[in-house]
Amino acid sequence: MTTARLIPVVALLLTSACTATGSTGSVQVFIEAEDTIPEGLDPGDGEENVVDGWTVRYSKFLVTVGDFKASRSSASSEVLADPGQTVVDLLQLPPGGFVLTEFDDVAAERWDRVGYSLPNADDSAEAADGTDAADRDFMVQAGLSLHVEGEISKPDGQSCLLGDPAACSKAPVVRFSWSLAAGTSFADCAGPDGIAGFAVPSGGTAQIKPTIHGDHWFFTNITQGAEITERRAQWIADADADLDGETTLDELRAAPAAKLFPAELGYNLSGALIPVVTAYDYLEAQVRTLGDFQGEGECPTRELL
Amino acid sequence: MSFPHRPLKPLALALAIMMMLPAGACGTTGAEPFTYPIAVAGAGASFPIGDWQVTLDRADLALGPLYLCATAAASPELCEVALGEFAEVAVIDLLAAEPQPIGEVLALAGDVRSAMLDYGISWFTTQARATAGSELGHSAHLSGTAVRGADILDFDAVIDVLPPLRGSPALVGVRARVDDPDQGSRLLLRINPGAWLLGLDFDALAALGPDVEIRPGDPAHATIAFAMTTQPPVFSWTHE
Repeated sequence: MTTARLIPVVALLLTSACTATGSTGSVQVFIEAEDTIPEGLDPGDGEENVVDGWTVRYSKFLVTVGDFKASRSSASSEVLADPGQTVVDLLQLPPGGFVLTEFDDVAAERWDRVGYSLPNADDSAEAADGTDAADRDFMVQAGLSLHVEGEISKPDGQSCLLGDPAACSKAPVVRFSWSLAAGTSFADCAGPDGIAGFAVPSGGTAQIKPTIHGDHWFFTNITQGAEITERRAQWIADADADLDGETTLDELRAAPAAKLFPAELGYNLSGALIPVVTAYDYLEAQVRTLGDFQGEGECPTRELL
Repeated sequence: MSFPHRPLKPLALALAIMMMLPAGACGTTGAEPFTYPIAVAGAGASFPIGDWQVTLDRADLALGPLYLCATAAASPELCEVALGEFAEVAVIDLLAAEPQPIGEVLALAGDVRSAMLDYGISWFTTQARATAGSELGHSAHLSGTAVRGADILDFDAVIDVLPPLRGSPALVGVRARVDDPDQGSRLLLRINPGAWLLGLDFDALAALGPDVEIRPGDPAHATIAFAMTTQPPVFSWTHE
Protein backbone atom coordinates (compact mmCIF):
# COMPACT_ATOMS: atom_id res chain seq x y z
CA MET A 1 0.00 0.00 0.00
CA THR A 2 1.41 3.34 -1.00
CA THR A 3 1.42 6.39 1.22
CA ALA A 4 -1.04 8.12 -1.08
CA ARG A 5 -3.58 5.35 -0.61
CA LEU A 6 -2.95 5.02 3.10
CA ILE A 7 -3.78 8.58 4.07
CA PRO A 8 -7.53 8.44 3.24
CA VAL A 9 -7.86 5.18 5.16
CA VAL A 10 -6.32 6.71 8.25
CA ALA A 11 -8.58 9.73 7.92
CA LEU A 12 -11.63 7.48 7.72
CA LEU A 13 -10.60 5.60 10.84
CA LEU A 14 -10.11 8.80 12.79
CA THR A 15 -13.49 10.12 11.66
CA SER A 16 -15.40 6.96 12.47
CA ALA A 17 -13.76 6.74 15.87
CA CYS A 18 -15.14 10.13 16.82
CA THR A 19 -18.73 9.94 15.61
CA ALA A 20 -21.69 7.76 16.34
CA THR A 21 -23.27 5.83 13.49
CA GLY A 22 -26.74 5.41 14.98
CA SER A 23 -26.96 1.68 14.22
CA THR A 24 -27.30 -0.94 16.93
CA GLY A 25 -26.52 -4.56 17.75
CA SER A 26 -26.60 -6.95 20.69
CA VAL A 27 -24.19 -8.14 23.35
CA GLN A 28 -24.02 -11.57 24.99
CA VAL A 29 -21.75 -11.96 28.00
CA PHE A 30 -20.51 -15.52 28.50
CA ILE A 31 -18.52 -16.79 31.46
CA GLU A 32 -15.66 -18.89 30.22
CA ALA A 33 -13.29 -21.17 32.13
CA GLU A 34 -9.69 -21.27 31.06
CA ASP A 35 -8.68 -24.75 29.87
CA THR A 36 -6.56 -25.19 33.01
CA ILE A 37 -9.77 -25.53 35.03
CA PRO A 38 -11.42 -28.54 33.34
CA GLU A 39 -8.18 -30.05 32.05
CA GLY A 40 -5.79 -29.20 34.87
CA LEU A 41 -2.10 -28.56 34.34
CA ASP A 42 0.57 -31.04 33.37
CA PRO A 43 4.26 -31.08 34.21
CA GLY A 44 6.78 -30.09 31.59
CA ASP A 45 8.74 -27.28 30.03
CA GLY A 46 5.98 -25.88 27.82
CA GLU A 47 4.49 -22.43 28.30
CA GLU A 48 1.45 -23.71 30.17
CA ASN A 49 3.22 -26.53 32.06
CA VAL A 50 4.20 -26.81 35.69
CA VAL A 51 7.98 -26.69 35.65
CA ASP A 52 8.63 -28.48 38.95
CA GLY A 53 7.06 -31.74 37.89
CA TRP A 54 3.65 -31.64 39.53
CA THR A 55 0.35 -32.52 37.86
CA VAL A 56 -2.66 -30.44 38.88
CA ARG A 57 -6.28 -31.54 38.72
CA TYR A 58 -9.37 -29.79 40.02
CA SER A 59 -12.48 -31.58 41.31
CA LYS A 60 -14.46 -28.46 42.23
CA PHE A 61 -14.10 -24.87 41.01
CA LEU A 62 -16.80 -22.44 42.13
CA VAL A 63 -16.69 -18.70 41.58
CA THR A 64 -19.09 -15.83 42.15
CA VAL A 65 -19.35 -13.61 39.08
CA GLY A 66 -21.27 -10.42 38.50
CA ASP A 67 -21.54 -6.68 38.14
CA PHE A 68 -20.77 -6.59 34.44
CA LYS A 69 -20.32 -3.06 33.11
CA ALA A 70 -19.40 -1.55 29.78
CA SER A 71 -19.24 2.03 28.60
CA ARG A 72 -17.63 4.18 25.95
CA SER A 73 -15.04 6.87 26.42
CA SER A 74 -16.78 8.86 23.70
CA ALA A 75 -20.19 8.69 25.43
CA SER A 76 -19.63 7.94 29.08
CA SER A 77 -23.29 8.47 29.99
CA GLU A 78 -24.25 5.37 28.02
CA VAL A 79 -23.66 2.33 30.20
CA LEU A 80 -24.39 -1.36 29.86
CA ALA A 81 -24.74 -2.70 33.37
CA ASP A 82 -26.04 -5.80 35.11
CA PRO A 83 -25.41 -5.59 38.86
CA GLY A 84 -26.55 -9.16 39.55
CA GLN A 85 -24.25 -11.90 40.77
CA THR A 86 -24.19 -15.61 39.98
CA VAL A 87 -22.43 -18.61 41.49
CA VAL A 88 -20.85 -20.61 38.68
CA ASP A 89 -19.43 -24.13 38.81
CA LEU A 90 -16.71 -23.80 36.21
CA LEU A 91 -16.43 -27.59 35.91
CA GLN A 92 -20.13 -27.84 35.01
CA LEU A 93 -20.58 -25.13 32.40
CA PRO A 94 -23.40 -25.79 29.91
CA PRO A 95 -22.19 -27.11 26.52
CA GLY A 96 -23.12 -23.87 24.81
CA GLY A 97 -21.50 -21.79 27.52
CA PHE A 98 -23.09 -19.92 30.40
CA VAL A 99 -24.62 -16.60 29.44
CA LEU A 100 -24.24 -14.21 32.37
CA THR A 101 -26.25 -11.41 30.82
CA GLU A 102 -27.41 -9.97 27.49
CA PHE A 103 -28.09 -6.51 26.12
CA ASP A 104 -30.11 -5.46 23.07
CA ASP A 105 -30.27 -2.21 21.09
CA VAL A 106 -26.68 -1.45 21.90
CA ALA A 107 -24.89 1.24 19.89
CA ALA A 108 -22.79 -0.41 17.21
CA GLU A 109 -19.57 1.10 18.45
CA ARG A 110 -16.50 0.04 20.35
CA TRP A 111 -17.29 -0.21 24.06
CA ASP A 112 -13.84 0.38 25.36
CA ARG A 113 -14.43 0.44 29.12
CA VAL A 114 -15.35 -3.02 30.30
CA GLY A 115 -15.29 -4.58 33.72
CA TYR A 116 -16.85 -7.17 35.96
CA SER A 117 -16.40 -8.58 39.44
CA LEU A 118 -15.68 -11.77 41.27
CA PRO A 119 -17.53 -10.60 44.40
CA ASN A 120 -18.16 -12.26 47.72
CA ALA A 121 -21.50 -14.02 47.28
CA ASP A 122 -24.55 -12.54 48.98
CA ASP A 123 -28.20 -13.51 49.18
CA SER A 124 -28.92 -12.04 45.77
CA ALA A 125 -26.65 -14.58 44.05
CA GLU A 126 -28.29 -17.04 41.70
CA ALA A 127 -27.01 -20.44 40.65
CA ALA A 128 -25.82 -20.63 37.07
CA ASP A 129 -27.19 -23.25 34.70
CA GLY A 130 -25.40 -26.46 35.60
CA THR A 131 -24.46 -25.30 39.10
CA ASP A 132 -25.95 -27.20 42.05
CA ALA A 133 -28.21 -25.22 44.35
CA ALA A 134 -26.24 -26.67 47.28
CA ASP A 135 -23.04 -25.17 45.88
CA ARG A 136 -24.75 -21.81 45.47
CA ASP A 137 -25.99 -21.97 49.06
CA PHE A 138 -22.53 -22.92 50.33
CA MET A 139 -20.95 -19.91 48.60
CA VAL A 140 -23.68 -17.53 49.81
CA GLN A 141 -23.70 -18.70 53.42
CA ALA A 142 -19.93 -18.32 53.69
CA GLY A 143 -19.82 -15.15 51.58
CA LEU A 144 -17.24 -16.62 49.24
CA SER A 145 -15.84 -15.40 45.97
CA LEU A 146 -14.08 -18.71 45.25
CA HIS A 147 -14.00 -22.31 46.37
CA VAL A 148 -11.57 -24.72 44.78
CA GLU A 149 -10.80 -28.37 45.48
CA GLY A 150 -8.22 -30.55 43.84
CA GLU A 151 -4.86 -32.19 44.14
CA ILE A 152 -1.32 -31.97 42.95
CA SER A 153 0.50 -35.22 42.23
CA LYS A 154 4.01 -36.31 41.33
CA PRO A 155 5.28 -39.91 41.58
CA ASP A 156 8.44 -38.86 43.40
CA GLY A 157 6.88 -35.84 45.04
CA GLN A 158 8.16 -34.59 48.36
CA SER A 159 6.95 -32.20 51.01
CA CYS A 160 9.89 -30.21 52.34
CA LEU A 161 8.94 -28.27 55.45
CA LEU A 162 8.79 -24.62 54.41
CA GLY A 163 11.09 -25.37 51.49
CA ASP A 164 13.90 -26.80 53.62
CA PRO A 165 15.63 -29.47 51.48
CA ALA A 166 16.90 -31.11 54.66
CA ALA A 167 13.38 -31.72 55.94
CA CYS A 168 11.64 -33.63 53.15
CA SER A 169 9.13 -36.47 53.28
CA LYS A 170 7.46 -38.45 50.53
CA ALA A 171 4.32 -36.74 49.25
CA PRO A 172 3.16 -38.16 45.91
CA VAL A 173 -0.28 -36.57 46.29
CA VAL A 174 -1.26 -33.41 48.13
CA ARG A 175 -4.91 -32.35 48.27
CA PHE A 176 -6.37 -28.92 48.84
CA SER A 177 -9.83 -27.50 49.53
CA TRP A 178 -9.72 -23.74 49.76
CA SER A 179 -12.52 -21.23 50.29
CA LEU A 180 -11.80 -17.54 50.02
CA ALA A 181 -13.79 -14.35 50.43
CA ALA A 182 -11.52 -12.35 48.15
CA GLY A 183 -14.02 -10.20 46.31
CA THR A 184 -12.31 -8.24 43.56
CA SER A 185 -13.44 -6.01 40.72
CA PHE A 186 -11.74 -6.10 37.35
CA ALA A 187 -11.81 -3.18 34.92
CA ASP A 188 -10.23 -1.82 31.77
CA CYS A 189 -10.51 -5.25 30.20
CA ALA A 190 -8.79 -5.78 26.86
CA GLY A 191 -8.62 -8.73 24.52
CA PRO A 192 -5.48 -10.74 23.82
CA ASP A 193 -4.63 -8.21 21.09
CA GLY A 194 -4.49 -5.49 23.73
CA ILE A 195 -7.42 -3.55 22.26
CA ALA A 196 -9.68 -2.29 25.03
CA GLY A 197 -13.22 -3.64 25.31
CA PHE A 198 -15.27 -4.97 22.43
CA ALA A 199 -16.94 -3.80 19.25
CA VAL A 200 -20.66 -4.28 18.60
CA PRO A 201 -21.41 -5.05 14.95
CA SER A 202 -24.32 -3.24 13.34
CA GLY A 203 -27.26 -5.65 13.29
CA GLY A 204 -25.15 -8.41 14.83
CA THR A 205 -24.18 -9.76 18.23
CA ALA A 206 -20.90 -9.28 20.09
CA GLN A 207 -20.05 -12.28 22.24
CA ILE A 208 -18.04 -11.19 25.27
CA LYS A 209 -16.18 -13.69 27.39
CA PRO A 210 -14.99 -12.75 30.86
CA THR A 211 -12.58 -15.61 31.38
CA ILE A 212 -11.68 -17.12 34.73
CA HIS A 213 -8.17 -18.49 34.88
CA GLY A 214 -7.21 -21.51 36.94
CA ASP A 215 -3.45 -21.37 37.14
CA HIS A 216 -2.48 -18.06 38.70
CA TRP A 217 -1.63 -19.56 42.11
CA PHE A 218 1.16 -21.40 40.40
CA PHE A 219 2.70 -18.24 38.92
CA THR A 220 6.12 -16.99 39.97
CA ASN A 221 4.93 -13.40 39.65
CA ILE A 222 1.77 -11.33 39.93
CA THR A 223 0.49 -11.20 36.39
CA GLN A 224 0.90 -7.74 34.90
CA GLY A 225 -0.41 -7.88 31.38
CA ALA A 226 1.00 -10.77 29.40
CA GLU A 227 1.46 -13.92 31.48
CA ILE A 228 5.24 -14.07 31.28
CA THR A 229 5.89 -16.41 34.15
CA GLU A 230 6.70 -19.92 35.25
CA ARG A 231 4.24 -22.19 37.00
CA ARG A 232 5.34 -23.95 40.18
CA ALA A 233 3.32 -26.12 42.57
CA GLN A 234 5.95 -27.28 45.05
CA TRP A 235 4.89 -24.57 47.50
CA ILE A 236 1.60 -26.39 48.14
CA ALA A 237 3.42 -29.56 49.15
CA ASP A 238 5.95 -27.66 51.25
CA ALA A 239 3.20 -25.92 53.21
CA ASP A 240 1.67 -29.23 54.34
CA ALA A 241 3.27 -28.92 57.76
CA ASP A 242 1.57 -31.92 59.36
CA LEU A 243 2.30 -34.14 56.35
CA ASP A 244 -1.24 -35.49 56.26
CA GLY A 245 -1.51 -35.11 52.51
CA GLU A 246 -3.70 -32.03 52.59
CA THR A 247 -2.57 -28.41 52.67
CA THR A 248 -5.11 -26.36 54.57
CA LEU A 249 -5.68 -22.64 54.69
CA ASP A 250 -4.49 -22.63 58.31
CA GLU A 251 -1.22 -24.20 57.20
CA LEU A 252 -0.89 -21.56 54.50
CA ARG A 253 -1.48 -18.82 57.08
CA ALA A 254 1.34 -20.25 59.20
CA ALA A 255 3.83 -20.48 56.32
CA PRO A 256 6.12 -17.46 55.72
CA ALA A 257 5.89 -16.50 52.07
CA ALA A 258 9.57 -15.58 51.92
CA LYS A 259 10.50 -19.22 52.52
CA LEU A 260 8.12 -20.75 49.97
CA PHE A 261 8.50 -18.22 47.16
CA PRO A 262 12.24 -17.41 47.00
CA ALA A 263 13.79 -15.21 44.35
CA GLU A 264 16.19 -18.07 43.53
CA LEU A 265 13.24 -19.94 42.02
CA GLY A 266 12.27 -16.90 39.99
CA TYR A 267 9.60 -15.52 42.28
CA ASN A 268 8.93 -11.77 42.21
CA LEU A 269 5.63 -10.92 43.86
CA SER A 270 5.64 -7.15 43.46
CA GLY A 271 2.38 -5.66 42.30
CA ALA A 272 0.13 -7.75 44.54
CA LEU A 273 -3.14 -6.15 45.54
CA ILE A 274 -2.45 -7.02 49.19
CA PRO A 275 0.76 -7.31 51.24
CA VAL A 276 2.17 -10.80 50.86
CA VAL A 277 3.55 -12.07 54.18
CA THR A 278 2.27 -15.65 54.34
CA ALA A 279 1.52 -18.34 51.80
CA TYR A 280 -2.16 -17.61 52.36
CA ASP A 281 -1.51 -14.01 51.31
CA TYR A 282 0.14 -15.31 48.14
CA LEU A 283 -2.90 -17.46 47.39
CA GLU A 284 -5.29 -14.59 48.05
CA ALA A 285 -3.20 -12.18 46.00
CA GLN A 286 -3.30 -14.58 43.05
CA VAL A 287 -7.03 -15.24 43.49
CA ARG A 288 -7.49 -11.51 43.08
CA THR A 289 -6.00 -11.73 39.58
CA LEU A 290 -8.13 -14.57 38.16
CA GLY A 291 -10.48 -12.33 36.20
CA ASP A 292 -9.38 -12.08 32.59
CA PHE A 293 -11.09 -11.30 29.31
CA GLN A 294 -11.67 -12.96 25.97
CA GLY A 295 -9.39 -15.86 26.84
CA GLU A 296 -5.92 -14.53 27.46
CA GLY A 297 -6.80 -10.83 27.54
CA GLU A 298 -6.29 -8.90 30.76
CA CYS A 299 -8.34 -6.68 33.06
CA PRO A 300 -5.43 -4.79 34.62
CA THR A 301 -7.38 -2.53 36.98
CA ARG A 302 -8.20 -4.58 40.06
CA GLU A 303 -9.76 -3.32 43.27
CA LEU A 304 -10.65 -4.97 46.54
CA LEU A 305 -14.37 -5.40 47.17
CA MET B 1 21.22 7.90 35.71
CA SER B 2 19.56 8.06 32.34
CA PHE B 3 16.12 6.83 31.49
CA PRO B 4 16.40 5.56 27.91
CA HIS B 5 17.93 2.20 28.85
CA ARG B 6 14.50 1.03 29.89
CA PRO B 7 12.17 -0.79 27.51
CA LEU B 8 9.91 2.21 28.08
CA LYS B 9 9.83 5.10 25.70
CA PRO B 10 11.56 8.09 27.28
CA LEU B 11 9.41 11.13 27.74
CA ALA B 12 11.25 13.05 25.07
CA LEU B 13 10.51 10.36 22.50
CA ALA B 14 6.92 10.12 23.66
CA LEU B 15 6.53 13.84 23.12
CA ALA B 16 7.91 13.57 19.63
CA ILE B 17 5.45 10.80 18.81
CA MET B 18 2.54 12.85 20.13
CA MET B 19 3.53 15.82 18.02
CA MET B 20 3.42 13.62 14.90
CA LEU B 21 -0.19 12.58 15.53
CA PRO B 22 -2.93 14.37 13.53
CA ALA B 23 -4.05 17.37 15.50
CA GLY B 24 -7.73 16.57 15.11
CA ALA B 25 -7.61 12.95 16.18
CA CYS B 26 -10.44 12.94 18.75
CA GLY B 27 -9.00 15.90 20.57
CA THR B 28 -5.44 16.36 21.63
CA THR B 29 -3.54 15.59 24.75
CA GLY B 30 -1.52 18.24 26.51
CA ALA B 31 1.92 17.25 25.37
CA GLU B 32 3.86 19.80 27.39
CA PRO B 33 6.01 18.09 30.00
CA PHE B 34 6.00 19.51 33.48
CA THR B 35 7.53 18.74 36.84
CA TYR B 36 6.33 18.42 40.40
CA PRO B 37 8.13 17.55 43.65
CA ILE B 38 8.55 14.08 45.06
CA ALA B 39 9.32 13.42 48.73
CA VAL B 40 9.73 10.35 50.94
CA ALA B 41 8.69 9.89 54.57
CA GLY B 42 9.96 7.12 56.80
CA ALA B 43 8.53 5.86 60.06
CA GLY B 44 9.34 5.39 63.71
CA ALA B 45 12.51 3.56 64.68
CA SER B 46 11.21 1.31 67.46
CA PHE B 47 8.60 -1.43 67.18
CA PRO B 48 7.81 -4.88 68.59
CA ILE B 49 8.30 -8.06 66.60
CA GLY B 50 7.03 -11.06 68.52
CA ASP B 51 8.73 -11.08 71.90
CA TRP B 52 11.46 -8.73 70.72
CA GLN B 53 11.54 -4.95 70.87
CA VAL B 54 13.43 -3.80 67.81
CA THR B 55 15.07 -0.39 67.53
CA LEU B 56 16.67 0.76 64.31
CA ASP B 57 19.61 3.13 64.48
CA ARG B 58 20.17 3.15 60.74
CA ALA B 59 17.69 2.71 57.89
CA ASP B 60 19.12 3.97 54.63
CA LEU B 61 17.29 3.19 51.42
CA ALA B 62 18.31 3.74 47.82
CA LEU B 63 15.18 4.57 45.83
CA GLY B 64 14.86 4.96 42.08
CA PRO B 65 14.58 5.16 39.20
CA LEU B 66 10.79 5.32 39.45
CA TYR B 67 8.22 5.37 36.67
CA LEU B 68 4.51 6.24 36.75
CA CYS B 69 2.25 4.29 34.43
CA ALA B 70 -1.21 4.75 32.94
CA THR B 71 -2.38 1.18 33.52
CA ALA B 72 -3.13 -0.29 36.92
CA ALA B 73 -1.21 -3.50 36.47
CA ALA B 74 1.77 -2.43 34.49
CA SER B 75 4.42 -4.66 33.04
CA PRO B 76 7.15 -2.87 31.10
CA GLU B 77 5.10 -3.73 28.00
CA LEU B 78 1.95 -2.05 29.31
CA CYS B 79 3.92 0.93 30.61
CA GLU B 80 5.56 1.55 27.27
CA VAL B 81 5.30 5.31 27.70
CA ALA B 82 5.74 6.53 31.25
CA LEU B 83 3.50 9.36 32.45
CA GLY B 84 6.12 10.35 34.95
CA GLU B 85 9.65 9.53 35.88
CA PHE B 86 12.06 10.16 38.68
CA ALA B 87 15.14 9.06 36.84
CA GLU B 88 17.65 9.38 39.66
CA VAL B 89 18.56 7.26 42.65
CA ALA B 90 18.06 8.99 45.99
CA VAL B 91 19.43 7.71 49.28
CA ILE B 92 16.88 8.30 52.01
CA ASP B 93 16.98 8.12 55.79
CA LEU B 94 13.89 6.10 56.63
CA LEU B 95 14.18 6.92 60.33
CA ALA B 96 12.92 10.41 59.49
CA ALA B 97 9.15 10.53 59.65
CA GLU B 98 9.04 13.99 58.10
CA PRO B 99 8.84 14.15 54.31
CA GLN B 100 12.27 14.45 52.73
CA PRO B 101 12.32 16.09 49.27
CA ILE B 102 14.32 13.99 46.83
CA GLY B 103 13.77 15.81 43.55
CA GLU B 104 11.24 16.32 40.79
CA VAL B 105 8.99 14.03 38.78
CA LEU B 106 9.17 14.80 35.06
CA ALA B 107 5.63 14.21 33.92
CA LEU B 108 3.16 14.19 31.06
CA ALA B 109 -0.55 14.86 31.45
CA GLY B 110 -2.69 11.85 32.17
CA ASP B 111 -4.10 9.65 34.90
CA VAL B 112 -1.58 7.57 36.83
CA ARG B 113 -2.63 4.08 37.82
CA SER B 114 0.56 2.26 38.90
CA ALA B 115 4.28 2.61 39.35
CA MET B 116 7.44 0.67 38.69
CA LEU B 117 10.66 1.24 40.58
CA ASP B 118 14.04 0.02 41.58
CA TYR B 119 15.62 0.11 44.99
CA GLY B 120 18.84 1.66 43.75
CA ILE B 121 19.93 -1.41 41.78
CA SER B 122 18.91 -1.43 38.13
CA TRP B 123 19.39 -3.79 35.25
CA PHE B 124 19.08 -1.82 32.06
CA THR B 125 18.90 -3.56 28.71
CA THR B 126 22.38 -2.31 27.86
CA GLN B 127 23.94 -3.88 30.95
CA ALA B 128 25.24 -7.41 31.39
CA ARG B 129 24.19 -7.46 35.03
CA ALA B 130 22.33 -5.44 37.61
CA THR B 131 24.30 -2.48 38.95
CA ALA B 132 23.97 -0.25 41.99
CA GLY B 133 23.30 3.37 41.09
CA SER B 134 24.04 5.22 44.31
CA GLU B 135 26.80 5.78 46.81
CA LEU B 136 25.02 3.34 49.13
CA GLY B 137 26.11 0.55 46.80
CA HIS B 138 23.11 -1.55 47.84
CA SER B 139 19.34 -1.25 48.09
CA ALA B 140 19.21 -0.74 51.84
CA HIS B 141 21.30 -0.72 54.96
CA LEU B 142 19.35 -1.45 58.13
CA SER B 143 20.99 -1.83 61.50
CA GLY B 144 19.80 -1.78 65.07
CA THR B 145 19.19 -3.70 68.25
CA ALA B 146 16.60 -6.27 69.26
CA VAL B 147 15.93 -6.77 72.97
CA ARG B 148 14.01 -9.53 74.73
CA GLY B 149 14.41 -9.35 78.46
CA ALA B 150 18.10 -9.82 79.11
CA ASP B 151 18.79 -10.92 75.54
CA ILE B 152 20.32 -8.24 73.35
CA LEU B 153 20.97 -8.75 69.64
CA ASP B 154 22.77 -6.25 67.47
CA PHE B 155 22.12 -6.72 63.77
CA ASP B 156 23.45 -5.13 60.62
CA ALA B 157 21.66 -5.88 57.36
CA VAL B 158 22.90 -4.95 53.89
CA ILE B 159 20.13 -5.67 51.42
CA ASP B 160 20.18 -5.97 47.63
CA VAL B 161 16.86 -6.14 45.80
CA LEU B 162 17.66 -7.17 42.27
CA PRO B 163 15.48 -6.76 39.20
CA PRO B 164 14.29 -10.23 38.15
CA LEU B 165 15.07 -9.71 34.47
CA ARG B 166 17.25 -7.49 32.37
CA GLY B 167 15.19 -4.50 31.28
CA SER B 168 12.64 -4.91 34.05
CA PRO B 169 12.41 -2.84 37.23
CA ALA B 170 12.57 -4.70 40.53
CA LEU B 171 8.99 -3.77 41.39
CA VAL B 172 6.18 -3.53 38.84
CA GLY B 173 2.47 -2.87 39.20
CA VAL B 174 2.90 -0.97 42.45
CA ARG B 175 -0.36 0.69 43.45
CA ALA B 176 -0.23 4.40 42.66
CA ARG B 177 -3.33 6.29 41.63
CA VAL B 178 -3.99 9.92 40.84
CA ASP B 179 -6.12 11.65 38.24
CA ASP B 180 -4.28 14.00 35.94
CA PRO B 181 -1.57 15.47 38.17
CA ASP B 182 -0.15 18.86 37.20
CA GLN B 183 2.53 21.34 38.20
CA GLY B 184 0.77 21.93 41.51
CA SER B 185 0.85 18.26 42.46
CA ARG B 186 3.07 16.83 45.20
CA LEU B 187 3.98 13.14 45.37
CA LEU B 188 4.75 11.59 48.76
CA LEU B 189 6.00 8.06 49.27
CA ARG B 190 5.58 6.59 52.75
CA ILE B 191 7.87 3.73 53.72
CA ASN B 192 7.91 1.81 56.98
CA PRO B 193 11.19 -0.10 57.30
CA GLY B 194 9.88 -1.90 60.36
CA ALA B 195 7.38 -3.75 58.17
CA TRP B 196 10.26 -5.22 56.22
CA LEU B 197 11.65 -6.85 59.37
CA LEU B 198 8.40 -8.45 60.54
CA GLY B 199 9.21 -11.78 58.92
CA LEU B 200 12.62 -12.09 60.58
CA ASP B 201 13.12 -14.95 63.03
CA PHE B 202 14.93 -13.07 65.80
CA ASP B 203 15.14 -16.24 67.90
CA ALA B 204 17.11 -17.90 65.12
CA LEU B 205 19.29 -14.82 64.64
CA ALA B 206 20.03 -14.61 68.37
CA ALA B 207 21.18 -18.21 68.28
CA LEU B 208 23.96 -17.09 65.94
CA GLY B 209 25.44 -14.74 68.52
CA PRO B 210 25.00 -11.25 69.98
CA ASP B 211 26.19 -9.51 66.80
CA VAL B 212 24.74 -10.67 63.51
CA GLU B 213 25.56 -9.50 60.01
CA ILE B 214 22.87 -10.10 57.40
CA ARG B 215 24.22 -10.20 53.90
CA PRO B 216 23.07 -11.37 50.43
CA GLY B 217 22.72 -15.14 50.46
CA ASP B 218 21.61 -15.33 54.08
CA PRO B 219 18.06 -16.55 54.80
CA ALA B 220 17.38 -13.36 56.74
CA HIS B 221 18.46 -11.33 53.71
CA ALA B 222 15.96 -13.19 51.56
CA THR B 223 13.25 -12.45 54.10
CA ILE B 224 13.92 -8.71 54.11
CA ALA B 225 14.36 -8.47 50.34
CA PHE B 226 11.10 -10.38 49.87
CA ALA B 227 9.27 -7.95 52.17
CA MET B 228 10.73 -4.95 50.35
CA THR B 229 9.29 -6.38 47.14
CA THR B 230 5.85 -7.26 48.44
CA GLN B 231 5.38 -4.28 50.76
CA PRO B 232 6.35 -1.37 48.54
CA PRO B 233 6.18 2.37 49.22
CA VAL B 234 2.69 3.83 49.61
CA PHE B 235 2.05 6.54 47.02
CA SER B 236 -0.11 9.58 47.70
CA TRP B 237 -0.57 12.88 45.91
CA THR B 238 -1.60 16.24 47.27
CA HIS B 239 -2.18 19.50 45.45
CA GLU B 240 -1.09 22.90 46.63
